[in-house]
Amino acid sequence: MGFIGLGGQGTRNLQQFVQIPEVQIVALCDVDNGVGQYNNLYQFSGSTDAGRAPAKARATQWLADVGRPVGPKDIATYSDFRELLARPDIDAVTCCTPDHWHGLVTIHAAKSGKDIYCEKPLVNSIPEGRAVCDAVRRYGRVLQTGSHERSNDTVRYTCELVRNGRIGKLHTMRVNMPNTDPHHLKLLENRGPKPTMPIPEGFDYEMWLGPAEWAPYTQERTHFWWRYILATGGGEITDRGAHIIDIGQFVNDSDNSGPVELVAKGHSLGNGLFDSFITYDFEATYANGVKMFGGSEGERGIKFEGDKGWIFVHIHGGRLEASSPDLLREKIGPGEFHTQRSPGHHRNFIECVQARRRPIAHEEIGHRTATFCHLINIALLTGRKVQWDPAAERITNDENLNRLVAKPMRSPWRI
Amino acid sequence: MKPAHIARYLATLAIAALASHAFAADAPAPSPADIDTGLASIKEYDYGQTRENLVKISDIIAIARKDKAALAKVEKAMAGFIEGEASLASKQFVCGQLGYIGTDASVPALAKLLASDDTADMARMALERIPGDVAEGALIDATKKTEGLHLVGLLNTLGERRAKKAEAVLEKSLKSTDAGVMTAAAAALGKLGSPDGVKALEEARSKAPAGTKAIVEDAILVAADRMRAAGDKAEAKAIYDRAVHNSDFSVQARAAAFEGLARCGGDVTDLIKGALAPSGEPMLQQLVFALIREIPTSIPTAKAAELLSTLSPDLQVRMIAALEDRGDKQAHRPIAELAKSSKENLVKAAALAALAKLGDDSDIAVLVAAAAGNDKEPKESAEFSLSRLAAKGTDEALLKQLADAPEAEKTVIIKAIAARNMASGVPALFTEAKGQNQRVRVEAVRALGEVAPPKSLPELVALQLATENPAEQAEIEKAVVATARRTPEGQPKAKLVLAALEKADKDAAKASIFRALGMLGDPDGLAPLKGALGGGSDELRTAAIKALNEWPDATPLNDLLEAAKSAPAPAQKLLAWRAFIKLASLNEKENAAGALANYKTAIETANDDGIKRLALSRIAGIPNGGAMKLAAAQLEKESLRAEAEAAILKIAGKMKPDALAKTKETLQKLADSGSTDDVKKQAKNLLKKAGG
Repeated sequence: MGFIGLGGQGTRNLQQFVQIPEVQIVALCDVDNGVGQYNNLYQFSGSTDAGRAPAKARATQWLADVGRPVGPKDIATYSDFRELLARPDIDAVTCCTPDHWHGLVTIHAAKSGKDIYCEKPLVNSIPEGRAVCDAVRRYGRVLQTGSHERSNDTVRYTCELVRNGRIGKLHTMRVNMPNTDPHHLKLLENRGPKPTMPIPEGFDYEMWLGPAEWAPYTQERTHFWWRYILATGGGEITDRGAHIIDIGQFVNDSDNSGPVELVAKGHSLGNGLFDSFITYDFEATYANGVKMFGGSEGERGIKFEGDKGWIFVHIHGGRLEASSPDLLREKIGPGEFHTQRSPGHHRNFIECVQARRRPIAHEEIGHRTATFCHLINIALLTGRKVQWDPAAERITNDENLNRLVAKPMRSPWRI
Repeated sequence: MKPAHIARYLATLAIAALASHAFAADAPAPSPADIDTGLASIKEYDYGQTRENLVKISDIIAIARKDKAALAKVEKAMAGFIEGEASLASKQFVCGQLGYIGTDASVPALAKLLASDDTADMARMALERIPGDVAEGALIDATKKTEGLHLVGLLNTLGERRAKKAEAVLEKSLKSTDAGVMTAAAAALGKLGSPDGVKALEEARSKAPAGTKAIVEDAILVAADRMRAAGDKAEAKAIYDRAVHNSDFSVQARAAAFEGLARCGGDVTDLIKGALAPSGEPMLQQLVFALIREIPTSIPTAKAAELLSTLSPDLQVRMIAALEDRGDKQAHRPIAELAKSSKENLVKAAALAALAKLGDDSDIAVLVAAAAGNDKEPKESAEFSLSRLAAKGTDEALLKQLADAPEAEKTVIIKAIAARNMASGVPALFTEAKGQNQRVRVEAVRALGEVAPPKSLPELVALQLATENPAEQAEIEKAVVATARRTPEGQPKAKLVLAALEKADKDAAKASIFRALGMLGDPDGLAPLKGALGGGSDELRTAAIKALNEWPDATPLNDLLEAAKSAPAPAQKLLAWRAFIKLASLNEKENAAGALANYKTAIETANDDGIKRLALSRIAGIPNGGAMKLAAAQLEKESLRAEAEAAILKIAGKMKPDALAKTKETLQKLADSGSTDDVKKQAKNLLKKAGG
């Protein structure tokens, strides 16, 4: 396997794949050599070693720890993902770059005959998502989206309970996506101007920026904080939304569709960089009449309400609460609906690569969840109701809104 | 910081300063002066400065969108803005807004920006979003006046727009010697999906240098996909056919052509057979299984299943998975045969797992034998299929086989009955639970715990009372509790267990019922347990204390305290104190002061140092001054000193700075005269944190 993008999550994924004996780690890629840049930005969250050189050192150590030691030349490093993808001896890659690169890297990987584990949200715009699905299909690849909560047994169980009618008829889903983690508070306090800075040595900023609209370098535009800038991420809506809303899509049997109507309101930070939304409320309606209400308050997770009971799934981890303890002791019989069991999100990906099956969070799932999240951001940005045709993947009530569905790319990049 | 604090923090610190978006829904449409003032305020805006005034422009646009005339004025002002003197950052922002609301009226101003290196990308991105011939014309015109990176951008944009009128420009650019331009034109032509475009692409492919060929091939196949999606399957099929049979195409392109061909609806059995032959290319082989899974017309199920016997074990596993996902029962027999006779464990396991979906009651014997076997993968697959097989007659077949099965198979079938939640299996489970084989008995009791309905409780409790083996009795107690818990809400869960208690005449039997009542924790079950604390035999008193140790809430706390003080046997006192401390801890989060008071009672009243140490270990989990004080009070007692020190350090380690500052005296005492160097060192570190 090769690993593209070696920030916090990229390195965590690397560590996960080290634990799988069938995986041989041969290549690492990042636009940052890892000296200084990441350390400054991750210090508050405790993740200080990222970028090419530290990732290689850590991979080497982790492999030694699991009894598969490698020599210094066994793992190659690259700063350009295209060089890594050109290697014929690599079967699968991770894509753990910032969001604005997901579509491009993933499509290039599919065209190169690689299977892909791509971090969530799968893509940074809706047409990118469709293009990813097309490329994966066209080239017969296997793709797992990094929305790993799907692999929790409790999430599977919740889905089976709801779909088999244990809470009666599902009518409402309530999503809580609070911005109360330490990094959110830091974000809220971080309100000053962000002056242009010299690009650090060893960091290919031009490549980092890639398809996003041009902007001069300033440290907080890049590592970790990119997620709160709409050109490169989608804020909490796509960051945690890609986990929590994803579970709603799953349970409501909407993995091949999405909401048909959506309204939202919220506030962005409005400071020098971060234009994503920090407080928000949204209301979405599915074609089956089920509503999803979402907001930036409450305990993180999703509640499923039916006419006979409710279940709340805590995120992260999937701890369950229910209207009655008996509900969580229910058994799902052989003739009832069962969904795929996962031995763990990374393991599930590798098993599907081997068996050529679709993983538990395959490309269509990742794309549809990302679509939902992007539609919320469009509604937030414009203050307008969105009516969505999930089959045609078009906004039907407002052609101007439809223009925002795609994100034009800086030259020379294209989908 | 607790969530409530954070919410308040957000409310006070942040919201007032956050930027609103399109909130003033009922406000009047802005006058042109609003937009002019707004634009003037961002004229010198630079990257990294506050976005507050940018958001105000967005809000003006949101309001203006309700009034065509107002919106036109806003657009005009913005178009004028980008033509005038303003910072690059402000122009980029305004271009973005024009991409959202711009019309033909904005195109001239945007088109002018296409000529400048600094502004070409931002203007093109805006034009990419503005529909209509005028914007398209401007983009096409610009291709004639530019080259290099900006030309690549324009070609990409024309491709995104599916600009039919740009076909000639794209075909011309396809002949460029600039590889970037040539490949951008190829990709754009692919997105157009026209027969002429494909012809040009196929010609270009034959001359393309190695580094660009793959991009042109991908464009050809994208074009074919577009034609197929548009309904022109014949044209698309012809393109796929040419590509799939041309060995000069890359294997990736041939895979894509193969996939496209299958999606045209035809039978591609021969191609599938070729790909799966020993000389087949891995990428084509990988694709084949996706086609079999997703496209029923690609190959008839029977033919795909026939191939199974010709494949290597690795490919057999993949084929079984693909056929299982396809879900066509025609694959049942060949897969069942592999489940029965394959010598390869992984193949056997895949086949056994597939039977869950494709199998029927005729597979029970094979599944049971594999589940009772010792090979890990087949065993797990078979157990899975036995729990999931939904075919008619499965339950009956399992029960039929249970009667005469050997021990290993009986346990497998019993587990399957439990996993399948088979109420129809309850009588058979009782039969096995009363049988001669202990392992089978235990497994049957466990299964009864999973599936027996509450009405079975009398029979289950009778079994409990008749069993003398303590280990088996413990299993039955668990089954009784699990079954009683299934009593519908609103009905007393302990009723049938209490009825059995009245009939029990031996202390051992009553003790067993006490244990069950304790685990069940139903309020109705409390009275006999309390009663046994004050009277009756020693055996029953001990059983009652143990049962109350399992109680799910703190209701019997005072009864346990009384037993701890006055039980006749010292061992019972110890048990009661332990139970008292355990139950006191249940409310620790909600009522720390109450829990602390109970721990204090234990320390001050119990005669046993072990109980005092246990209470101290609980105190250590409460990070407040009261806990610290209570722990500090035990430092003078040599037998408790080590636990008291550990508790103090643990409490201090979890305290918030302001509370920690009030504990300096205690920490100083430990720093000066702790019982070990490590204690002194930890205390000194905490003192530093406390500001001492």
